[in-house]
Amino acid sequence: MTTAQRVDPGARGARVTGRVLGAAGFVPVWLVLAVLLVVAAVAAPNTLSQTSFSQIWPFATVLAVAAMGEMLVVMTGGIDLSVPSVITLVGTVLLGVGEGENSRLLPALIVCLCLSAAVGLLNGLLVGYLRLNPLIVTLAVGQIVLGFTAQYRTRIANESLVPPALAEWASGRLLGVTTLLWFGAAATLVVAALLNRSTTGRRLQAVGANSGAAWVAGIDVRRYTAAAYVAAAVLYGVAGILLAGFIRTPTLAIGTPYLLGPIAAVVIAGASLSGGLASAISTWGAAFVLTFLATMLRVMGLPSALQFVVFGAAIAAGMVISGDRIVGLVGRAMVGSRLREHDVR
Amino acid sequence: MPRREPKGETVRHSGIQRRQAVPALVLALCMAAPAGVVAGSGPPDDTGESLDADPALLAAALGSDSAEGVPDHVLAAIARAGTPVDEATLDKALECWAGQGCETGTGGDVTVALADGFGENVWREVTYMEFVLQALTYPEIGEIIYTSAQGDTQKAISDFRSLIALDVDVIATFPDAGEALLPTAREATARGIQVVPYIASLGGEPGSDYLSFVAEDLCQLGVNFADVLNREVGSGKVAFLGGTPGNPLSEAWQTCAEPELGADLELVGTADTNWTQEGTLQAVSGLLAEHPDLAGISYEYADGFLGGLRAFEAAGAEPNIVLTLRTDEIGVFCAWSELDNPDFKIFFSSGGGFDSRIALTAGMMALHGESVPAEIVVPAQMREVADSDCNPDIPSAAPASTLVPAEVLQAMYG
Repeated sequence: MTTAQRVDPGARGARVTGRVLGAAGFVPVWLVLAVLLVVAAVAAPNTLSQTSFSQIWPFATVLAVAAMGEMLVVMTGGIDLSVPSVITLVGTVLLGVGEGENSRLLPALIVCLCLSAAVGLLNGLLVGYLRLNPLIVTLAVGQIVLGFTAQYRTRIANESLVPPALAEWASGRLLGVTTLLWFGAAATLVVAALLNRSTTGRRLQAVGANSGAAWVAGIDVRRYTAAAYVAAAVLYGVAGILLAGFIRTPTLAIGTPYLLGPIAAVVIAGASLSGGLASAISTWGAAFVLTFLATMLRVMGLPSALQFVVFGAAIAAGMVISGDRIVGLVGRAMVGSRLREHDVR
Repeated sequence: MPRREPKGETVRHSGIQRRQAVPALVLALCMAAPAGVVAGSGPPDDTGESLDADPALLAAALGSDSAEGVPDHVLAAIARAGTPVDEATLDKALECWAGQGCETGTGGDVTVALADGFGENVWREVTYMEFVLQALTYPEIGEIIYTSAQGDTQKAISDFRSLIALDVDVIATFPDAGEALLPTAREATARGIQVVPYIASLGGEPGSDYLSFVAEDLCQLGVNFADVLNREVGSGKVAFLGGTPGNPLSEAWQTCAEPELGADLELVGTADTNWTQEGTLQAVSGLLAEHPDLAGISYEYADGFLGGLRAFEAAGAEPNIVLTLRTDEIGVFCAWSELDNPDFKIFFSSGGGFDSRIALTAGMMALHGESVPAEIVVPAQMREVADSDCNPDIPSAAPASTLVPAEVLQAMYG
């Protein structure tokens, strides 16, 4: 009884600390969003108009889906720079295999997702099994994919459209809001549920948090690392399908904006680039923040040069107050507090 | 293998070049003399090139079938563009276009190159085909080389250096990288290569740093845009769209257009689009959010504005605007025709995709020892889009002012 009395407060304290830290890590992005909405309401109220949201929702959804893929990789301590190439590949394949015919849509979607998975598998094998640097590997694989895509594109008529059914769906509305948003929200919830509720998701989190401990616990670290790249690439592929459907005539430049965006979203959402826990819902929020900010700057009519400066500064500021750093600060504060308490006793 | 003669000023007086130029000059004199009074023909010239441009091609390219005021080198290029394309030429042109270069099969000892700063859109692809077809009219050209820097300045410089190393004779270039390429262009010129930028400026001194600069008068284009907006919009809000941030082309026409806007027109903003439909969609959405009563837009890239139309559609708004465009891909004209909206008007200038032909012809003329001015200004007039501009017989991504024959376009994109 005496022993139990000595142990329980510590265990309870650890649990509380864990919960607080877990929550604190993903809070800043929502605070940033709230601040941004207030700034927009004052400085550029038309950013909150329906016209503005007619493009914020679709582009935020695409970025969110791609960022959730990046998040899976970042959780393993890796990074994936092949996102733009996969999105461009998918957009191009949708044109080539889809041939602008609804009857070709299903095969086109299947080919897109299979090719995306193949790119992810290549990344995963090189990073997970051969232990190559993910920064270099994914950049190199992305270049290879882009090269093949550019070559494939020369055989496709430039005025080609994606199959009309996809375009209609991507332009459609449900309850007054673009269908892409509903799809993105559903995808976010699915990824969040898989990460938090499934054994696979929890093992992936364990690999990211401490790969050595995960290995000791019997988890095949290499397999989970490789699988993260595959799942991520499939999500990039989905993002590419959504974007191509919305744009209708995807070009070879369609993936270009998605090099920095997904990484920025993941970090601002509170994930650590050294691996560990991450939140799909916060990542969605960060993607919305970035898209909303870019739109607000355009609505304000800032010159492109100034938009780059403000956007870059905002990302840097977002990283300063990112969840990862907040966790560190809160953690140190709580540990310090307990140590002082211990000294008093 | 004998050492090749240095090029440039010295080559203009080489015996080989004179031997090629003299029969051509005699032929040109014979052809030009009886046609001297016909519109579209020029006086007997010292270029060795025919100036007898087909009025129909003049009208297609420049918006007017009159040769009056059209520089000789432009007439010479358009006259060559009228050369019929037989089946063998078509096959060779497609081979060169798809293969990013080729040997022409003539056995000629001249190598020409198109160094594109960015080649990944339809407009640039057609520009390259213009170059290929023009090159195939010269039997002395034995090889065509194409490079695209894909918008990367470093690659553009690297591409240029590779062409210098390959000892090509003529480099026509769309220098998206602007003055960053100037030192390399100077080096090429010093090595005797005829460097002819078109549309975008290299800076420096045309005529000494490089052979010549071929372009429409971008400032005049801006003035023409403003004239149309003043006339058709009268009063209201207008906006300018540009390409990649800081690109010299957008800046050139916008700088001249703004002061020409009438007092009742309010320029509410400029936005960059990266010359993509995606970028145009986002730029126009941003403008519409702040200015739903936008009445006029000026932009360079017609095909990109399909993204602008998507922005109107996504916002649930009708494009009740006057749109002035520099290029003229017919896809947006067909979209305009389909909308059948009397409050949506489009005016376009000549796309200038055929400027690559003029650049090549200027380079070849210099190679033949003929005089080339430091600047070749390509005239253009604004035209209003009509239903007939949506031509179902040619691909929708093709520019209306192209000098590439319809059958070639169909083979390219069919």
